[in-house]
Amino acid sequence: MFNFFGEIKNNVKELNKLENFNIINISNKIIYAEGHRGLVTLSKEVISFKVKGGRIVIEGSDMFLMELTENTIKISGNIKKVESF
Amino acid sequence: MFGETIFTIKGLNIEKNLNTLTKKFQIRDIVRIEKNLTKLTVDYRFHKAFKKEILKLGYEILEEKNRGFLPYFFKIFGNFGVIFAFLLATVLYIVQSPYIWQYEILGEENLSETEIVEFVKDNFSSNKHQIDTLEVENALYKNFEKISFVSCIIKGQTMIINLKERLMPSEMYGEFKPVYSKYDGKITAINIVSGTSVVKIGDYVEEGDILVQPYYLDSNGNLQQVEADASFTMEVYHTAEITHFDTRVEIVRTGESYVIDEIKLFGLTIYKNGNNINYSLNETEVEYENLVNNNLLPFKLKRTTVYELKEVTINESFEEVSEKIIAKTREKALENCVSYDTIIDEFYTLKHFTGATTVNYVVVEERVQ
Repeated sequence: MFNFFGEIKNNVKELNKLENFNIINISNKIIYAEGHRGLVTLSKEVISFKVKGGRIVIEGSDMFLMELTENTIKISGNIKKVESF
Repeated sequence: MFGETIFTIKGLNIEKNLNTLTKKFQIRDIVRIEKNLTKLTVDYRFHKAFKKEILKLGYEILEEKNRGFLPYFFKIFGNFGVIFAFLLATVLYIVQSPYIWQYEILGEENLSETEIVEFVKDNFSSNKHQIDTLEVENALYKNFEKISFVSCIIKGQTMIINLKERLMPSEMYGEFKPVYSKYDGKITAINIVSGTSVVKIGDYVEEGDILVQPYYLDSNGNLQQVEADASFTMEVYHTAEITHFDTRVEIVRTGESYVIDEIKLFGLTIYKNGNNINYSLNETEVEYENLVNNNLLPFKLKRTTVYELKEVTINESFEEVSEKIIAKTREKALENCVSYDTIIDEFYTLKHFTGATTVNYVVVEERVQ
């Protein structure tokens, strides 16, 4: 099966050892992240979640969680900013 | 796919609990409406367990809304009124159905119920609106000679056929076949129950000869058919014949033999041990033995024993062995006797030829048929 993240990592040798988390932003409308360690904040304006070695904060408007599983998260809404701490 | 439940829950610190709940349930479309108000969707199949879990965590459920096929299905079929109505409609449909579901035959004694039902099914529609019961009655009366009265009604989904069979003396039923002799012999007593005897006491009959005809002449001289029934006592003769030759050639085993063993699988020879020896006269015996007890690989041993034979000329006059030959002939004649108790006479005759004597033994047995 084709793995998008795996393909990128294979092309860039330095990324091979990075296994913490993956985030993909689709047109600032959908954020898909895998490898989250738990939801921290949930509101229409701010959604944040823990990842290995830090925290990801997403700001925007009318945001909601399309899907939440044990290690993946799918956020929908008008995304303005994605920050990593 | 089959349905979902949308919950609106009231309570703080939902993020932490969502992390726990996602380990057990698939949750989607999670919207934080207000600080203490969250709306989320779970699969309908798990909605009860999810609800229980949420309440256990101390949240208040403000709204619960179902969507999709499964909730709709359970809403309908979880209602006793609807189930009852469905069952009632099914029962009414069956009761009011225009088709005949069952056939009931009353009053048949010698006729076969299956035969009548098959006749009606083959010749008339099963739609009760297309059946004229009068036609059924007439058809049955015409096609079954034994029926003297028949009535037919349709009650609900059952066709009831009530019939009366013709009343005749029991001996007038049947196929009217003659009574045939079962043995070769002489008739010594006759006991006629019904029919006309065509033999008399003292007659000699053969097996298959007609003894009683299935009819009688009534007072008007008309021939009336009846079931032939009678018992006969007969002297049955069992004969046997053996010819003794004073000089004869007999073939006996010399004592020499050889064995060939073959192991066979599905008729094919797998292994063979032993060589053929050419005897001018020989006799062969073959034995098979299963080497394994299963049918998967049915190995068999075929053992062929070939015995050498030779011709021996024997000179023996009849007088020397007469008793033995007569006893042997008697034994042969007794083979067909039912019981020694029924033997009433026995005798033998001898015919002498040049170098040969024929013994003819007769055993007379009394039999009743």
